[in-house]
Amino acid sequence: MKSSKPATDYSIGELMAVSIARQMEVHDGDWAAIGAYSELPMASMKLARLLYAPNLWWMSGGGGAINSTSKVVRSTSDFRVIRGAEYVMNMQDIVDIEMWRFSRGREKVVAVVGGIQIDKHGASNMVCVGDYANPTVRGVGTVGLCFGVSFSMVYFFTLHHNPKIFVDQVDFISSPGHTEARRKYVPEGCEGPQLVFSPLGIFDFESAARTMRLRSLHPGVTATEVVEKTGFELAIPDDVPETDPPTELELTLLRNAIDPDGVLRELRITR
Amino acid sequence: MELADIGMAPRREEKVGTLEEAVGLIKNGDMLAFGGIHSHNGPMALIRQMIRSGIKDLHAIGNVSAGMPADILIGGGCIETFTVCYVGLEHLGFAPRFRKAAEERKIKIIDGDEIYYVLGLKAGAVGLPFVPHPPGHEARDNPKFESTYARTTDPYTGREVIVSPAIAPDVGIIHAAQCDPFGNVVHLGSVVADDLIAKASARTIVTTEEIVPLDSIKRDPKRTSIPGHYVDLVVEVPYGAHPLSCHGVYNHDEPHIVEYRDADIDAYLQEYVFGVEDHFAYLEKFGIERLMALRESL
Repeated sequence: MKSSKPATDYSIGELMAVSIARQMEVHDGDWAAIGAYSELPMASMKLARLLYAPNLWWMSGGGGAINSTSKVVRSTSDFRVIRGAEYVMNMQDIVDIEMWRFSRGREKVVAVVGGIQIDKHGASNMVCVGDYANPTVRGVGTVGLCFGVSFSMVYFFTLHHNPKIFVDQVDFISSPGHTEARRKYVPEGCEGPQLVFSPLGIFDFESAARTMRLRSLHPGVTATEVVEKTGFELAIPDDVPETDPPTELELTLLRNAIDPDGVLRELRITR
Repeated sequence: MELADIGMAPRREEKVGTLEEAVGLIKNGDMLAFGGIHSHNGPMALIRQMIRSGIKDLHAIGNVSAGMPADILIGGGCIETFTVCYVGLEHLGFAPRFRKAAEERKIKIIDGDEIYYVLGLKAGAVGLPFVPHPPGHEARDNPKFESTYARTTDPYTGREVIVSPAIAPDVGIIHAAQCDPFGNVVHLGSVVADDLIAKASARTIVTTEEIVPLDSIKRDPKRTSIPGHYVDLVVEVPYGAHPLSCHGVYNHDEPHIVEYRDADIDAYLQEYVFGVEDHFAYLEKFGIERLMALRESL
């Protein structure tokens, strides 16, 4: 697979889906959850199991389908996702695995999730923009981000990259970032936010202060552009590589085996 | 033939009723949990009947990810308090009447999450007084801002623990593909928390696409997702989840959910709730061709 040629004609959604799929290689044998509005990581999990992590267990949102092999559809809890799955979890099963204390030090339980705000320390907010008591935007609610203090690791993806999403400090902590409160209260083995996959690049939290740091730029994107569209001071190393584009093989699998309806190519992504 | 058929033994009681009888089990001010998830398996026909009947002041326990059922109950004026885990329309965006009511503070919101909701129902089902949370949640804002969380001392370690309340609804309403006259439920897809809702609620109403004979249940009891013991009333309502999907039977009618999202709520309710006599009149507005197409795309 590594010998497959880099592709030239791909969408930004396809690039992001491929990047997340490749990251799942380190989670071969682990368990991964995705949530709602998650067509993109859904495609990633399917691609990861085909190419990089055949032993990955993954759950398609609250519908609970495990290791679905259906085509990508828009709703991750759609009945059609259950086709070709190996098990269907109910909510008690889901809470059991997402709070599973033996995942610390054993197989990891990870999640690929989002937020209406993500801050420089990697906290995510799904509840409100502005003051909690008098919000300017009422969000959908914390839902599964409460497991941000029990998951082994958390990955973020966003379909937009702008200063309204990437803020200095979230207005409500649905899931905490790398802060003093996390260090004080959250059990060891829950390592918190690892990477952020945005339409502009990939980010980690490996700066000295454990704040968001540019890790790679998607082809055609400049560091200046990322800085302009980020609402806090981003850590930027001297040398920032370009995100590897999808290979012909990855794209062929995505477009034919995984997402024949082209859901990924039609996603509304802004940057 | 059974002994009851010749008057030699009492007959097993069937639980079959109507949507009107179902609404009769729901009182103003009740705590009401509804099942399903996102655009799937919501008891929409019963919810429309509740709105038509003017039920109000409910404390709704939104399902783990509630979409249109939550939004239309709010838009229909039925809700005083809403326990939120997630209320939104997934890839179709925010739930507009929920968002407006929340931002204008027209309803009281309890900001829960999956643990608050699922373990809360579990506690409600078995009579545990509250839910203790493992360490770590001190670093999140739900326990900080949501006043129904509390703190107590773990008597075994002396450590402070965050707790949230048991959730024991007055009534639970769920929709499933099949159910027999005695309340044995068969989901043909995701059960989500419907089983917990049935266990935690004082009264449980099941609307179903099809009432199947008990013999059909007995052929493969492993398929039964909720034993009828937990169920109080069974109502046969074909397309009773429309415009949501019923897993295993038909897909959701996404264009109609978009129409609902973008509509003036009063005009929408007038056309699809108050302006139709019953569920069949509602279905006739869509026509057999459109409804059958939702099955064929499954």
